[in-house]
Amino acid sequence: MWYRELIVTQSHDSPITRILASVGDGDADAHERLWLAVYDELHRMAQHQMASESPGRTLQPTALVHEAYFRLFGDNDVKWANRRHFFAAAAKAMRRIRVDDARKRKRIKRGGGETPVAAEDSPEPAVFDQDPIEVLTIDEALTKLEEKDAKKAQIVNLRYFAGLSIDETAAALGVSPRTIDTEWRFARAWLHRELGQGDDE
Amino acid sequence: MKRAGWPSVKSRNDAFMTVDQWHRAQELFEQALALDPEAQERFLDDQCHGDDELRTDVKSLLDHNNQAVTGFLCPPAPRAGKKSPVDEPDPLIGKRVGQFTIQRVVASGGMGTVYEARQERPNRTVALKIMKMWATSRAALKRFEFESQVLARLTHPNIAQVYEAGTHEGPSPNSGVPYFVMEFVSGARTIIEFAEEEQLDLAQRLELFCQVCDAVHHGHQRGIIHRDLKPANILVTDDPSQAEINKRRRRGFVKVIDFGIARATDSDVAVTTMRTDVGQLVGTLQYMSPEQCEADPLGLDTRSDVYSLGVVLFELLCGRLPYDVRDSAIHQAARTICEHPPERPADLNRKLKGSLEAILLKALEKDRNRRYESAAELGADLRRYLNREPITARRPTLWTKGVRWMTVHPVLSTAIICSLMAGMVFASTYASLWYLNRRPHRMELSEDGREARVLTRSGNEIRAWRADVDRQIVFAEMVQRPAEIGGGKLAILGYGVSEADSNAGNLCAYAERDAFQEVLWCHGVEPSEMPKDLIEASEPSRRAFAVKWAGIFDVFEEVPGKEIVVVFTHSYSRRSIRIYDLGGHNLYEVWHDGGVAVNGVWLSAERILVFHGDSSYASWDDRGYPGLNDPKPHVVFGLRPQFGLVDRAYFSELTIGPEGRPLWYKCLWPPDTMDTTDAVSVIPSRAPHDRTRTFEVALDVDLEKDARISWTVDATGTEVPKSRIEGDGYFFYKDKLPNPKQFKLADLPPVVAQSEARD
Repeated sequence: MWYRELIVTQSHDSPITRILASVGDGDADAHERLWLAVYDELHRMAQHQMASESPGRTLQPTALVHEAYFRLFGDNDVKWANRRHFFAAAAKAMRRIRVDDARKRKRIKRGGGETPVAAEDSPEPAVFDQDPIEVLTIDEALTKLEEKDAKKAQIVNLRYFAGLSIDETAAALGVSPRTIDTEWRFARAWLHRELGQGDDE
Repeated sequence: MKRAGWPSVKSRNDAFMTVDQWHRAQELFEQALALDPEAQERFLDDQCHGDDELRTDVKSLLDHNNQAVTGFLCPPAPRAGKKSPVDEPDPLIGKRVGQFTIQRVVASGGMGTVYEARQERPNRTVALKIMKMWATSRAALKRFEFESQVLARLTHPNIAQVYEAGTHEGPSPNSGVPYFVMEFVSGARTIIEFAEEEQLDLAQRLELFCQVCDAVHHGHQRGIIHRDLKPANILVTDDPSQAEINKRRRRGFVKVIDFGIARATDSDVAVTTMRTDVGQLVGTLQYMSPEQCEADPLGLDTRSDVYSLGVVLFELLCGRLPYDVRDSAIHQAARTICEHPPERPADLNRKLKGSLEAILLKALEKDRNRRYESAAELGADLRRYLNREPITARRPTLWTKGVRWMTVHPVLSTAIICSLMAGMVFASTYASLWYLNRRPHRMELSEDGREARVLTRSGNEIRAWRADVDRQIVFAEMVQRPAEIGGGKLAILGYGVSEADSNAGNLCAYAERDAFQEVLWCHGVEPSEMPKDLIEASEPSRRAFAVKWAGIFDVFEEVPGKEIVVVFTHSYSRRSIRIYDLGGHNLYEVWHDGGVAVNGVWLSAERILVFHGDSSYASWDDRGYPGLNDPKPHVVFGLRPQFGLVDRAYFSELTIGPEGRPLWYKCLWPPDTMDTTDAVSVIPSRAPHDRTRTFEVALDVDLEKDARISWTVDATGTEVPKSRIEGDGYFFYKDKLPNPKQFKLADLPPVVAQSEARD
């Protein structure tokens, strides 16, 4: 039957559910495995969608993360703590995917490019509707922000890379949307300044 | 967007900022955000107390915040779940597709996006649906063209007209994004929203839904299955111009949209599964028929649409769906739809009890053969309901429900059936063993007459009676007692005479209870019951009376069941003829001072009992035939028993006549018929249809050689002409016997004159 394919990822006892359970139990390796699982899923989905989408169309990170969530958990009731783990992993994964994509795209645009990335022979088409340079610079600045204030960096991860709304970010981090809003503004202003936006004019 | 020239990251002095300073800066930033620019300056002056570094830092962050509000780090168009596909600025808005200018997004679904667009010629607003998938092969494009032409011919006031269809922007000539141009339904709400917001009553809802049935049926008649009927595809508009066109006063006018589009674009659920998000899929799934859920989606027929209509009607009338699958995973939802019975509509809305519930359940039958054959039939039944006419749908019978229950609970029902069958096998084995080994079946009398036994069918002996050495059991028979008088079986035994036993000659009945140990009743001839003449002859003892002859007949219509005719004989020539019922009550009794033989016939049509014996009164000597072996004439009596009559006076040929006594009395002629009386018998007629009114008289000379002669006699004792039958062996005895033509039943000849003269 046609829905078999979905059953595989929707079963209560899916690998992802088990990994989430181990994360909850404080298993140190589990974080790494969760991240890999989410990354694999997102990456696979991005590839799959790009293969079937019309050329010229690009993916919305938000849609991708939401769909990944549904694919991994379906409509099953996922524990609150586990959802946070998932979104943290998804934000991290999306950041990685988008930065990789930006690197490829930048290289394509600039004919081989200045970024010393491991050379890949077949250039892939861009997946996301994004400015590759913006993504790369923000990634760089965000690494600095992480050193100063990991929480704010995480908010930026969720908001910018995973495309979550304020409310969703708040839900994913388990704090009030108000707090997220002010911290987000602060982080955004800081990054803006860090990148020298508006200073050069 | 001013995103040109992104610089690489600059190092700034805030690298020296301590953790405290960082938090302080954040705190001030947060508080200052709520203030207007002038107040911010004053606030920072107040708070920083000359800490210029901090003040500059916070100030610059606030400035950057203001600049960053637009554009910077803008999360790429959050689609916030299901609700706001419209928020997303669609790249196609303002663009042209064919001769259409796209104006805005109306709705976005799994299969495609619907835009409001403007057509130039004719100048009108249309709905433009651009599918999400590509038609990639020449065959697919051809089919799309063909299907869309079919759809364009579908014109019905309740179906949103498809104006045209085409493909857009293919990268190669053989591919393209299919799009449809359809009638734009302005001010449309889904049928559910409309009914709720306008607070329609039951009848109004049904009338609205009849329009949907009409529309769907119209499509079916043109060979188009909708395949995706759900409230979102059934729009209602209250546009007054539309209502006028229809010329009927109705609240709301239905427009079914997306008719057959799933088919034209091959975007059935099976294909779109991987593209749509799960929530949307479940939304569609709820309206899908069981066969759509589990079978090949291409093998659908119009009855699948009937099912989906049933779901929509259910939602419209009950306020919810027949199955709650919102929180289930897809495979669970599909299983629920295929296996579980829908919720009972009447439980959700009392007004639906009866006809409407039957209609809903018929439309929602899992087996499509049980559904309405078409949307028109469904609509017709609803209209019948509205007109208070009898509907065609019937509530499922108990049997159907049982069968359904069994298909839903296969394990349990198998277990129940198995245990029932095991129980039945056990019970029937036990019952048949009991029947074969314990139930009385027949009664057997040994050849010497000394033993009678009640046997089961398998030959087991239940009870045996043994007579004394010097007497016999002359009668043994088992009868079924009618239910009116207690039912069960009776064993009836007649004992012969015994010199030693004062109980000799009784007729006894034994009831089946306690294996025939219980004596139900026992009758003999008591001294008090004897005729006066017999007592005067100083023989008041009943000892010599025994059962001579007994038979079980249906005698009296007034008494239910069987009656027993018994002849008690004295060791001399006194006989009592009695009739008992099975309860042992004496119904009739007459006495005869002469012989009564062992056989008799009941002529039920004439209500006459015939038996034979010899005359006590007459002798052949007196009638001019001296010297015969048997001086007494053989006689046959015709007797009409009268219920309730007990006559203790002897009857003879002199007393023939009154009710209850013999009606007639004939002697066997010629007088010297046979050596022994036993050779004469009266037997039931051989002609079955005559058995109720005639009998046979037979003379057996030699049974082995079939030396027999018989003739038929009617109820008045008259021989039936041409009824005489001679056995083959009669020939051998011709010389020793009289001419057979001389045999007859006749009145006794008169006493001859010389003896009278002698007297």
